[in-house]
Amino acid sequence: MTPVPGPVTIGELLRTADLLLAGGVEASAASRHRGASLALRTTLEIAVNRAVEAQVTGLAQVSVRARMLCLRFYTDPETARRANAIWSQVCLACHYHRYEIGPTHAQVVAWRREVAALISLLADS
Amino acid sequence: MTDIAPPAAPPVSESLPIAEIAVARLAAATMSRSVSALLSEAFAAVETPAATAIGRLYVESVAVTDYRGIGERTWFRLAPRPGVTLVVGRNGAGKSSLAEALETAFTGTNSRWERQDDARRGSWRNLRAGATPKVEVKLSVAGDAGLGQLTRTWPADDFETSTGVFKRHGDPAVPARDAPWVAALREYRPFLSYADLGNLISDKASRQYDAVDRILGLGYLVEVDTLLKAEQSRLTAAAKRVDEELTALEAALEDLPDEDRATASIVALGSKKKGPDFTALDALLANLPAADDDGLAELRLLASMRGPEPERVVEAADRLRAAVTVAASVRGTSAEDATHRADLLDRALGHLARHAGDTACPVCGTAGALSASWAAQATAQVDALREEGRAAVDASRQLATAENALRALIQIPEQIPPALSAQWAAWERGRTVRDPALLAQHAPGVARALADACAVASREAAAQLAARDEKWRPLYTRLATWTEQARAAAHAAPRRADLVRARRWLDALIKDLRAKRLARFEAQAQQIWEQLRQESGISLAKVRLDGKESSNLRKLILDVSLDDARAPALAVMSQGEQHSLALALFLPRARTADSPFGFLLIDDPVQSMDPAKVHGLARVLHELGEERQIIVFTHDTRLQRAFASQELAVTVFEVERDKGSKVRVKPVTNPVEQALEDARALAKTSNLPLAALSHVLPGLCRLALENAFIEAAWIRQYRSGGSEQELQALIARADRFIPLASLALFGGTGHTKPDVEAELAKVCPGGWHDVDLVRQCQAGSHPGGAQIADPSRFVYRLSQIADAVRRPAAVTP
Repeated sequence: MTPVPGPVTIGELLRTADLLLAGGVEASAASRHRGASLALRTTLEIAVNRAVEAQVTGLAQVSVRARMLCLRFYTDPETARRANAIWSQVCLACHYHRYEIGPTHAQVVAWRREVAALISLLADS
Repeated sequence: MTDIAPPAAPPVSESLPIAEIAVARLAAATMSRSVSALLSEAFAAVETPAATAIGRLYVESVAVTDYRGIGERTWFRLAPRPGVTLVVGRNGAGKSSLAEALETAFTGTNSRWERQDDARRGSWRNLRAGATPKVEVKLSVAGDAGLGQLTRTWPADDFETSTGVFKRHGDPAVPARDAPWVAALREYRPFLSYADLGNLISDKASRQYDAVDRILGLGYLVEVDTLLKAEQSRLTAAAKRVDEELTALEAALEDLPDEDRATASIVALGSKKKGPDFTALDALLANLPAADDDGLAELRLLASMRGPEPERVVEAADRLRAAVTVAASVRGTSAEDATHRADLLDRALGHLARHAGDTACPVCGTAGALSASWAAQATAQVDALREEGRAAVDASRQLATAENALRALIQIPEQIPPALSAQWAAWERGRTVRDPALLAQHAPGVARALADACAVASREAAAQLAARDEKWRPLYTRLATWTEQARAAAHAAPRRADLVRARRWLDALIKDLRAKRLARFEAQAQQIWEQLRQESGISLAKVRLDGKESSNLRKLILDVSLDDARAPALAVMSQGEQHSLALALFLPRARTADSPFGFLLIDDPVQSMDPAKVHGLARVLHELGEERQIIVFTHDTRLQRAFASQELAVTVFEVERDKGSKVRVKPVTNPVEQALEDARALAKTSNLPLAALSHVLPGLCRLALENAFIEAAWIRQYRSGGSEQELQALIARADRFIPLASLALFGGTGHTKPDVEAELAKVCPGGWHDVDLVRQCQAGSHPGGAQIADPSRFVYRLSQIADAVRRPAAVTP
């Protein structure tokens, strides 16, 4: 059994994504890209939770959709829209959707960039 | 002149249709009145593009019967305004039949039919028994109070023989081929299929060029220039003809050196530089000899010369000769002496009368000689002597009469041609001959000689005159024709100069607009490409049109480079990337102000795009949807998801096939429903913090209401012919709620909050209670927030209000 992990930090998750993107893990490219997407999704959710919790206590506990709907009223609407858009893209990448091949390296790198930008925007709001 | 400043470009919105830009630029240009009048005339003479001739068109509804996969009448209604509508459905559900039917309604054909050969076209008619294919499209025309209808039916089995009818609100129906948008269908065809996208990239370079060139919408101005050019060529050709004829005419005139009219004409024709003397030419053509026309005048004089009539001269001379003889016979006879003696006696009697009583003779002095008896005798003698002398007096008088009669025949004309001056001088000398006998002797001979000379000279002169006219007559005709043409050319000279100036101005305008529009097109294409390419390393550096429109070598230059290396990347682009690039080039066409089409129909643009590009496509379509009605048919659900996940407003229909060929188009969502759906999801969320309920939920409901108002506002604005830009500006405003509601409810933005609320109470099912709910929605954005006891009920009530306001009641036409 693996030990129960403690609360993970945004920094750790971004480093994990970078590691996977850099090819430092023994796995197929498709798996590494999906793994990195997963890490990015979690990173983004943590950042969103922090932002809404800072505004209204208890909001981090509601469903992700409700949280995302509230986000646009608690931060800059454009930031909220971008967060929502990137979140939906990384979510897609995490699933083995029957129609879609996995994301490309370039795409995940771009998402990594967008997630990092949103983390700082959400922290400022 | 230092005045070389470029023509002032006024702040004309380049988003105006081309004809309006041209008029505005002309109004602002500094040029002579005649040039600007000429241009205005030409602008008016060319048929203005459809965007100016008809208000922008939006699709309100589509009904299809018995066409391809669709049997029974299938109908669906769209919001006839800018916005994105997705029509999704599985392959075979009937989407493509709907898309094709809509295209066919407008064009009478469709690109799939055009592309495929007979064997692969299949049946265009539904296979249902007794199928009568029909497509009905209802159109909202900006500025029209009611909808227009476009109908297409097929009288027989031939697909290509169909009957299209367009009925605009308030107008009689016209054949679809005469509808005002027909020319624009070629340039701004608002139908785009997957195959079209593939074709654009693989098409010939010249066809690509034309596709982009058409988007620039300068065809109208080029046509105006063609008109001016035609007139210019006509006038130039006329002027050239006048110049050429001038040279030929001068040569011909110089061949008549004896003809004074020819000489005078050459002078009147002037030089090419100086131009002709029209007054002199007119005088010549009126056949009046010019002052210096000596030779001709003499000839005319000679021709008119008539000498004395010899018979009359002979007669008068005979009579004179007889009178001379009579007079000579009485001279020195008693008859003459009698007269003298009578005169003497008369004078003596007079003397006696003056000196009464003095009877002495005054001559010899004999006294008493002049006695009374002498006086009586003398008086009687005077009478006798006078009688005796009359014969002498008569003879003398008759001589004078006869002499005068002959002299009277010596008439000298005012002008005497030098050739006859000797003869006339001889004749004139007759006047000075004192001796009547001499006169009578010579006059007949001189008269005959003069008459003969005159007759001969006159005959000869007349012959010469006739000979000259023979050569002159054709030249006269040529000169007359030339004068008329030269006068027209001289009259047209200012117009020719104006035409040169007008065309120069127009050319500069075309160049300017072309450069601006191409730059804008390039920027739009690049912007779209940036969205679509997502993480692809290929960039679109340049879009250029190479060569003139008329050149065979014209081509569209797409400067695409991979990872910013200057390498031609078209070859290494994937199919998905090629389609994206084609979209980047195609989509700006829908946005051009010159297109009368407010809608763009895109059939399956998502194929072969990877997920990231689908997200980008949703953004691109959304942006385009802010200005145009975008109707996308797709089998791919990713596009709908891409709209939803990026919080982009979209209307979605789903096409489903029932049993057989009954196809249903089901509304799935729309911007009002999207916001309400979000509100419902939030309302249902368990353990939602109170703050989210009091502030976020009202905000979502308010968004739903605003979207409903926007829908109604568009309809109102379109019915009244109001400006799109104004409405778009209003929609972009932060404090848009009351103005939007005012526009949606009344058709104008000027109404106050109390007016709006009173009207809402009238139209909403819950009356003033509903107004309270609307106020709650607005309160959400204030610190106090809204107090909502039952969130789900709140959202439900709001959905009822949104329904009540989104479609304003139809106005009576």
